[in-house]
Amino acid sequence: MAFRPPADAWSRRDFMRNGFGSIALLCTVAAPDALRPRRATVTSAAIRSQAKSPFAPFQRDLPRIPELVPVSSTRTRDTYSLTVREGLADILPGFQTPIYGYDGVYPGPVIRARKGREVVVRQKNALPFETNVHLHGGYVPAEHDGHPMDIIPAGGFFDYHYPNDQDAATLWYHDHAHGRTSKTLYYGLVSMYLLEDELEAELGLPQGEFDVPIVIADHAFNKDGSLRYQENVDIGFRGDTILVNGAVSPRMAVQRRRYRLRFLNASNARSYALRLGQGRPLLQIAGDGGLLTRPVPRARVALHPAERTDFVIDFSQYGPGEALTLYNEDGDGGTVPILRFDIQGGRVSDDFRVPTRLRDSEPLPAPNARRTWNLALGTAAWQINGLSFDPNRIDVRPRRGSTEVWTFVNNSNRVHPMHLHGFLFRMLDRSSGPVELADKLGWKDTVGVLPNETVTVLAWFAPYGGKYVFHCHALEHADKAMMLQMEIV
Amino acid sequence: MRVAPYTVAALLAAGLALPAAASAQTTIEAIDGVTNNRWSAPDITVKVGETVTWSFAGTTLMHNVKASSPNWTLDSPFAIAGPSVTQTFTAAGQYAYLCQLHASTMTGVVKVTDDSGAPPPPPPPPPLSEQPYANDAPPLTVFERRDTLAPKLDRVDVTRVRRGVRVRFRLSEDGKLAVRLTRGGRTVKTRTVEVDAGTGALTVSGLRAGTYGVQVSAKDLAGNAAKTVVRETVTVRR
Amino acid sequence: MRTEHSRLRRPGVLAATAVLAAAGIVAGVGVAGARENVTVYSVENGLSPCFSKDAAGPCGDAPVVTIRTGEKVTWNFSGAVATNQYHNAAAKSSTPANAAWNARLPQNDIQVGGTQEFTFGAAGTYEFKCGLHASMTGTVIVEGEQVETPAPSETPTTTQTATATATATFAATMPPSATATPDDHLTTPAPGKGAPKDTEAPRLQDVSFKRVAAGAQLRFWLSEQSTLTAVITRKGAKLPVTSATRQVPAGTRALVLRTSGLRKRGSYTLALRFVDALGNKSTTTVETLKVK
Repeated sequence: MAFRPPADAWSRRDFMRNGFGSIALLCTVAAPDALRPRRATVTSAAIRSQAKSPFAPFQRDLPRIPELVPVSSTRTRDTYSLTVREGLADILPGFQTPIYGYDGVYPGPVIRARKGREVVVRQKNALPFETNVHLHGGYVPAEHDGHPMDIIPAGGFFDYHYPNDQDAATLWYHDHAHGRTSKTLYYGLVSMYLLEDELEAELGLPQGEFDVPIVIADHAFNKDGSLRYQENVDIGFRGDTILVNGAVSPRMAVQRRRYRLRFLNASNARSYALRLGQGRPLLQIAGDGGLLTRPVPRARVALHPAERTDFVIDFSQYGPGEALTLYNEDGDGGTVPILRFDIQGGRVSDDFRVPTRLRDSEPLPAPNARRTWNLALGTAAWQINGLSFDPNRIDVRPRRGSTEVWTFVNNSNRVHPMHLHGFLFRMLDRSSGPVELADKLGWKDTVGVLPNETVTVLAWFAPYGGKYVFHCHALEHADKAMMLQMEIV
Repeated sequence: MRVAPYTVAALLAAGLALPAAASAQTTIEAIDGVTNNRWSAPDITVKVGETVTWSFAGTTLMHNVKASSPNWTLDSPFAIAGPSVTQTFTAAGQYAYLCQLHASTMTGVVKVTDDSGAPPPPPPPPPLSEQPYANDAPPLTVFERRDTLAPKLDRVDVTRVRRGVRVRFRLSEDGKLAVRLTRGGRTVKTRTVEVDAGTGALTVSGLRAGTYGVQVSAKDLAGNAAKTVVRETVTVRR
Repeated sequence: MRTEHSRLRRPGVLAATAVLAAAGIVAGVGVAGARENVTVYSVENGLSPCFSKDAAGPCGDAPVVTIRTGEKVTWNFSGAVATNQYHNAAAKSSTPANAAWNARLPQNDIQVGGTQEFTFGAAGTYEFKCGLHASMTGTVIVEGEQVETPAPSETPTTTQTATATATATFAATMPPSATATPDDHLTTPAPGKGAPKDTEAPRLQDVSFKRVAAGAQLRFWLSEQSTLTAVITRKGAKLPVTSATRQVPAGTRALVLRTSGLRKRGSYTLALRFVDALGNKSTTTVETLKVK
């Protein structure tokens, strides 16, 4: 198959490296002759790379996720409209891959929201089966949270109201129709929701094109370029290729300055161990629930399904032409390379210095209940405390405004990323070793409970009441009923 | 190859001869099991033109028979002890089938040979949309690409100007030029400036009259230091 | 014996309800929140599985459950997951004849595990059976006044509904297995089978580009929702001033691209391109702006 330039070939790198000639779309624009590349860059290696396998890493530039434009905006509210539909994505060069997507794109368009401004999203279902939308990590009233039984039937629509009454955080939204989530996420229903607030804006963190949402998910393919799904209820789906923003292990041209990278693990069930270059530190500034109280440098970062981690990486200490690879230490073959940062030349002014204090930690009420949740495989279905999801049964009734100590005991040898809808928690303790400092200094909504491990968290059941669920976010487990229902009263 | 007893009995009763080998029948029976429902003779070989019968007589569980290879179609309705299903094979090949309700244990293949009895051609490959496209990229071995080449600093010319010192230089890569002025053994001033590759000039002004030691060094943006470090002395006049 | 049992009971119960209704005390009918729901379980038993009110069985007489109109019976097949057995809860008979009930045909909706439900709006005697297993039968006796029942949730609606509906169907859990299992109505299909055949590229009209305090303002009319890539370059400069990717709804739109790069005097060029969900690309539109 002839190599097809990716639909997103608009990065600065392309301009610098190849000039306008390679981008036929701009043939009407006069090409400034100053755009000749500084060094000879069209090497024989570059030509050879065009004939390589579509799975060769770093052949494509990191696609930028489109930002969703609102349908209307008032002083207090932004209204958006999305259609959940089929689409075609350019993933492997030379192929078009059928996907399900928000507005038919993969990953779905990112919504930028502000604390205190309500967002209303009209989700229209153009799929042949039911769907719904769960804003993962959001403080949302129960009717708008995407409870697995609150579905939008095929052909219907629903207006989700997000109050955005919470601190700045990297959230994401995806389908949550019961029994379907492992397929719908895999086939492309994933999107990010970046909530900003004034306190975060005052810190002056990198913004605009230097604030980059990055969606990581493992996939597998068929010979016709379509996505290949193999159900495995034991360990969950495992693909052999890492897609980053919908491209196979791409490269990212970066200027010699600081970038804020917001990572989301949108895999069905694969956990990643992120490492940068030869032991370069990754400075973490935020987790699932928003900014940490202070930044924490980390050498190796575990990222379990549904977790988000924000890093600030300073590329100013590197020279043009150098490259750093972010990779997955727990992978093999195609699931090792994630992203390669190619440092570009050029004068850059970046006065930003990461502050030593990012946010304060609020005091919490003392816990008024302790609960233990046993995670185990029942007779051919995953269970929590011996139970599988039953929408007619409430499994726990925490009191609204209270905190509770929850202990997850993993009686299996599989990782279970346990996630609470609608509420956040603090990490208290874990049996596999000390809790990571970064996990202690912030809020989380998803924690990867390792095989045979016991993890204790302090959950805060505020501000909304009603029926929510909590479940394992290895979606093959969740669909085979590893989910319980809670009612906050 | 079994022929169901009642068929033989019926034929005999009707006074007909047993069917000739060329149009022989082969029957595969469905057999119930609590966890292992199965076919009596799942893999059989017949000749072109022969007929195969799937029989469900005597079952108390629901079964069906469905083609599972793309070279033929067969799809019988689900039924308990339903009617037999027959298929005459007119082309050589391998024809896979299964019971949809018990797909893990009730599968089989009918191999149809041509008249000469030669082995049948292999089944056609599944369509591209069902063939895996495995990730064949070679393993990653390099996690960093560093520039370890030191830049070249040359054509350094330090001259005095009015109340200052001017340094002309040439640097082979974009980098940082550092000029350090010492007087009487102590460092008086340092200036570090990002410079582009090529020739350039840097002027340090606002100096008092006197004799200064000037040290010029350079690094590229990756931090590699140029080997050349120029040390000169300049006297600044009022 | 089962049938006799139900016949004996029915007239007396109906009479009692009639008396209550006449007295103005309507027991549980139409009162929200007073509903009780009953579960009947499938029980594996070798070649003769059965229905039972007890999830653990054992298999004995066919179960009889009695409920009031408006209440729901759930048939729970989770006991069949371990042995991968298919069951359903089909209609064997209904007295008086009930079309909604009789639509539960024995060959439909067979599944492994999971549940099925039916909300009984009309009084009567309903016999159920598993379409695959003759040994699995039971009876539901429904007493009370006729009430409205929700429409079966399996029918996909094409009308636009304004609220999310709570579905009554709990998705069947399939046992983990490496072999392909036949399609049931809860399998999520892979995309591409029913892909819409839109080959029309997005169209653009009335494009304008001007400088505002925050940066650049673009106005245009767009024919269909698509992904926009916009690049602004300045004549004579090496790198673009700014570039942006946006997901834009159809219609008349005004976008502001925040940039400080439009301050200098010169000639600026805006290039716009749209791609729809199926990869149809618009032509690239170019607008120029002279800043003095």
